[in-house]
Order: sequence, then C-alpha cells, then structure tokens
Amino acid sequence: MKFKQLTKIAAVGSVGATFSLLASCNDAAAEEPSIKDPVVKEAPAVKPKQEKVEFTFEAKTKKVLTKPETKIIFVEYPFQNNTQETIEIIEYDAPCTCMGARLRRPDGKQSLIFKPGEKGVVIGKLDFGNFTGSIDKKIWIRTSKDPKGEPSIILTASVTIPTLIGPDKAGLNWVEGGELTPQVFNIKVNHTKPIKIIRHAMGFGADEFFAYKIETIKEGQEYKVTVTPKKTNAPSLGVLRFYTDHELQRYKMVQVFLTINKKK
Amino acid sequence: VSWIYQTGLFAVIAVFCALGTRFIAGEYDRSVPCDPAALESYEVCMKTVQQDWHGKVLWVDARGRKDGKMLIEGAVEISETNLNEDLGKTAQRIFQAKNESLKVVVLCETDACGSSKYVREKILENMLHDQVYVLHGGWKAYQAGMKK
Repeated sequence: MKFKQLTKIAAVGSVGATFSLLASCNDAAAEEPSIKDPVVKEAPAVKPKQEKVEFTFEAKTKKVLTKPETKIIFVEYPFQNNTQETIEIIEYDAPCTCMGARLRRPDGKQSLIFKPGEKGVVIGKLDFGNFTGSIDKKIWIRTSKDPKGEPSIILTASVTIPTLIGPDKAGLNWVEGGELTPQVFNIKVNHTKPIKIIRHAMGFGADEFFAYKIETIKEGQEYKVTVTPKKTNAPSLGVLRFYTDHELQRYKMVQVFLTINKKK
Repeated sequence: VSWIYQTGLFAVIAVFCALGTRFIAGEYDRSVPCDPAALESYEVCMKTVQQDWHGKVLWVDARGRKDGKMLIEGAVEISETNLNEDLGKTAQRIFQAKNESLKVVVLCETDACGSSKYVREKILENMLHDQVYVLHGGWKAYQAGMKK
C-alpha cells in the first residue's frame, strides 16, 4: 500500500507523468471511457456530516446497469474546484483488484493541483470478469486538506450486471438424521431470448447421498428440480451443476449446493 | 573529500538515531485500530481471531487474482468476479471447516473494497457455512497481526 502511495506521489512530481496511475486492474489495455455502453443513472450526491467537501462533484454515487455481455465498465465522476482556494489531490485509490482509478483534466494539464474554477474527471474502470448481480465499488480521494489516512471524498459505483438465468434458491439444506424429505427449486430465465439447459450433473461424488430429477416447465424459460436425500446419516455436501447453451461464460453454468448439516 | 566524510557521518548518526528510536519505542506499530464494540455484527478484529479464536479459522482470500500477491497459508481464494467457479472449487473446504467448528474469516484489500462482504454473503446464501466473518482492516490488518 505504501509503495503504491509513494508511486503515486512520484508520478505527480515527474514532468511526463500521466494520470494513469494505479490501474490495479490486470489488463492495462485501457480503453477509452465508454459511458454509452452501460446505462448510468446518477444518484443525488449525499454529503455525510463529517465529510469535508472541497471539490464539487456532479454525483458521488453512480448507478450502472450494464448489458449482459459487458465485462469492463468505465464510470466518470466530473468535478470542479468551486472554492476560492487551490486544492491538491495527494492520493487516490480504488481499493479493489477489479477496479482501477485515474484522473483526467479537460484542460490537458498533468497536475493534481486544482486552482479555483478548474475541472477534472475521476474515471473508475471496473473489470467484472464473470460477475453477475449487484455490487458497490468505491474510489477514495485524499486532498491536501485531509489528514493522512482519512480521505474526505468517497465515490461509489453501484453496478448491476443482469442475472439472465438462476435458481430461486441458492442452496438446499437437510439436517443430519432428519427425514428424507424432497426439496424443490426452480431455475428461471430472465431474458427475452430463451436459455436452454443442455446438460446437468451432480458434483463432489454426492450421488451416494442425493438423487435429483429435472423437469422442463417451459423449454428455455423455466425448469423445476426436485432433490431427495437418499440418507442423512452423516454430514454431506453435494453440488448440482446445470450447463446452458448461452454463449457468454457468465451464464454458461448454474450451480446449487446441497448440504446435510450436523445436528446442533 | 570532506563532504564525503560529512555525508558518512550524517548517515551514521541517522542509523544510530533510528536504532535508538527502535530500542526505546519498539517497532513501529502497523496494526489497524479495531474496536470490537464499534464493529458491524459480521466484522471481526484480527486480535479476536488471534487471541480469542487462537487463529483457528479458515481464511478466505477475496482480494482477487493479481500478480505478485502474497498468499495466505492455508487460505482458500474466492474472487467475486469468478464466484461460481471459485465457490465450486472451495466449497468442500468451507463445508469441512463447518463440520470441524472452524469459523470462516474473509478478507480483501481494505474495508472499502467490499469484496469480502460480498463473498461472505454468497457463502452464507449457499449454506456452506453459518459462521462467516469479515476481517476489519483487511489485508493490512492481517499482515500487521501476523508480524506480532
């Protein structure tokens, strides 16, 4: 962490330094920000009581709803120094390996010092891999007015990548010594195009403990799965994996864990 | 030549000062402040893990994949961006920890990264374990705690 901070400070001082510090994300092949791709809705900026706001941001929290195929998202946070004082950004970071942050100035200057009236844009780059669902990611900024370790500015990207297919239960649970009661879950498609389950299998060698049956309610839209334990005499873990015909990796597999837990 | 001697002298003085400071004040405290009373119910201090739980936990590393990352001995890795696959690979270890009454502690880079909270929720949702905590201070707190 310290090394990262020092790197940043050094970058500020060097003449040819660009603002592309950080880049914690693996692929440094930074594309130009593409806000057209995801739908970005701006939430009103919330000012916490203890927060000392010096820069004025258009929005500190941005809600992003992506397309199913989106892997990399850029979120921009434009700001301006509307105070009468010069403000310097000492450090900024996105404390997550899936997110990187950089800073751009519309005037083309390569400086983290903002005189009154000057503008900048903080750009968050999020690489979500095979993630689906919703998550909040943050970028923090510490200015010359902030004590060390206490950044006054927190920017949030609240991102949702649609879950096109998924089970209505994340896991099924039985108790050791309990009855062999069947449990049911449904796998539903939440998409305009059908997604078919083309293959399914039980993992972790759990066939000894569980039996399952899959029924098609509507091909490509909904499936019903019934799981019945064969025995509950010992704790056990199984997993049911359903493979789909969707072309995107993040929607290719749905899994549901089956557990027989110790009696408490 | 005199400036070389002067520089050398200052260097020697600086080293003595540093050693003296270390001797008097001890090693620089890199620990992350953590007040158990001020934490969320799902958070835990490194001190609690080490002293109350005697370090007997299953660590879940949610820092994500990156080059040069220092690994945690005995930990399982679950990245939020590769959750399905990682959960599939680590579920048996997590479930085994449950049966051995070992708590699970998830950590990511810092408190602000959010990944550990997300991974914790997924472990609970999938019913792989029911005592899953997030390490307050993340990797920094872990490192500081292990150096003690």
